[in-house]
Amino acid sequence: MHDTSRIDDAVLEADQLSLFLRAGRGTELKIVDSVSFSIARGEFYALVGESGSGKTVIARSLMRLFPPNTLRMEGRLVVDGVDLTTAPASRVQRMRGRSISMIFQEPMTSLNPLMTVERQIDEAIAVVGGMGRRERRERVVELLADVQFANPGSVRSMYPHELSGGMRQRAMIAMALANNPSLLIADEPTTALDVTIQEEILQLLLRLRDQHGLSILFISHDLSLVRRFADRIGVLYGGVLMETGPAHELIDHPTHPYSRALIDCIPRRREAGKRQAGIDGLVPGVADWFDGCRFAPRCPRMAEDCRHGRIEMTPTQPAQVARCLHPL
Amino acid sequence: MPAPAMTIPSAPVLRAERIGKTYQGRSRLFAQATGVTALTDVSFEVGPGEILGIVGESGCGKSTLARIIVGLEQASAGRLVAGDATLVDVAAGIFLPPAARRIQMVFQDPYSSLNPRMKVGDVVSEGLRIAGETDRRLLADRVAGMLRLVGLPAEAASRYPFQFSGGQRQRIGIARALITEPRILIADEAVSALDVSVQMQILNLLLDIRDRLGIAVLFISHDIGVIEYLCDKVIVLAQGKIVESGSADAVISKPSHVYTKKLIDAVPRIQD
Repeated sequence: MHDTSRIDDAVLEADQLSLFLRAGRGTELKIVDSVSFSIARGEFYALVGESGSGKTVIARSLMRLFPPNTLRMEGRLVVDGVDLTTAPASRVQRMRGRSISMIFQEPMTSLNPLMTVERQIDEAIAVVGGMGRRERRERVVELLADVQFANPGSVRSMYPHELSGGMRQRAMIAMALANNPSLLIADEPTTALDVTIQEEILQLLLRLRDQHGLSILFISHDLSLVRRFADRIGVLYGGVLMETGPAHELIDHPTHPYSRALIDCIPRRREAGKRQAGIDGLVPGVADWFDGCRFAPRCPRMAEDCRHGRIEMTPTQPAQVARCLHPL
Repeated sequence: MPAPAMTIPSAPVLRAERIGKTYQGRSRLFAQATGVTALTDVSFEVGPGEILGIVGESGCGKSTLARIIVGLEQASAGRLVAGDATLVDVAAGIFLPPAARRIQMVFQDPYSSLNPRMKVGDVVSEGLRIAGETDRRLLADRVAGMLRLVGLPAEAASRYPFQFSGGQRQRIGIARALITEPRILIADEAVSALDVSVQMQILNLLLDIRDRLGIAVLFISHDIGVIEYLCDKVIVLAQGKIVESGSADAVISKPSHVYTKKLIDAVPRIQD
């Protein structure tokens, strides 16, 4: 821990993180391959990728939300100074809610339908302990006001079915913030919501970040959404981080051909008779990963050297790095 | 391949006149039944080879409208006319059965909309078999033709849905819908479950099919970018009413209704 400035600033640091799924009979599948990125205090970092890219596994590995002996972690994954790849289960349990919290895509299935909003949030506070009943009750109201319920006093006695989708997601956020975590993981939290509500939730996340210095790891497949709200973006493909950099720069001037292709796939206004090209072919499955660049078979800039060996992250712009031998 | 001229005014493939839908509540002792109105006075026209986008937030009635058109649900008011056939005329008590309407649907979730225990060939040919076709050679030929049309190899017919990716399954869903030669295809959020790279392939497939078959498409979506890319005309629904309609370009670049503005502003878009 000599490089203290870096550690102090980063709430999360993933360094050559690889994740292996234990497939039984001693076989393992590498599902995330040597991913490195960090999130500073108060930073909104978005991991984007198509399905199967590994974004959700990375998020869940941060909470170590896997049945025992199903996932093996290699490399380093440090949150608040604790390396999650080696920390004992009891230490990780103490971090859940306090260092790291998580909100999910479907707020209805993550809330208990038989418990009022107050009881669910209270449960999250009580787990940590150290507060009396009255104190906890005040804290619930404070949290509900924090996530911008106009009338926290009446919302707290409501059941999940009485809330709209957006309100449920806000109640989830209140629960996640109950113990002042440093890092909030949001796994596609707005995918199930209408666009106008999506806007509301994201504005709320930004406000909470500014108020509490909260760091946010936002998992998404929507590039236009993250361009607007994230500080920095990481683009995942086939379990590999292809490119990372500041949101606007990366989307407006991607240097990795995959980022470029992905951005070009976003449908926009079309001139009569013209077509936008998709990306031909399919995302490779984990079982048939190969040497060299995972995107090579679908890449327009593919050259002979792309098919062999290991390709390292190299700076392509002042604040951007990409894993590509022939960047744009 | 140049698109067929779409601007020539021709008889609409589908005309909806003041379609309404009220769900009747149950009457209780001493209390009259109260209804919930899902659609009010919805009127529009779709010409041959035209793609009409139907936009709105959840609960605005867009799926109810699709289900009424395809015949899965009965309208409580209005008329639906396809070419010279009256599909629905509530006042006259006409409700053409779904199988006779020549309207097919493609669904949102390619994982749950295909029967996992049927081979792809059987999934695709089912519409023809229901219509009474029994000649196996002819069925196999038609299936092969449809699979080719949607960009799948003919061998796909002998495999099961689980052997295909989401995008490929959506192609199977489109082949299944097209085999009965419908005049209208309704796609209810047909690309929203797909990854962006695959989504573009399916959007282009729909454009190709429209160009080749001259079929009309009703495309339901909440994604303004997708609507802008695909559709010629748009109707915007809010609380069961059309609040705005017009060419896709005009509605999206210069929305005149407050609700449309709000909807479009909320969609983050990447500027070119």
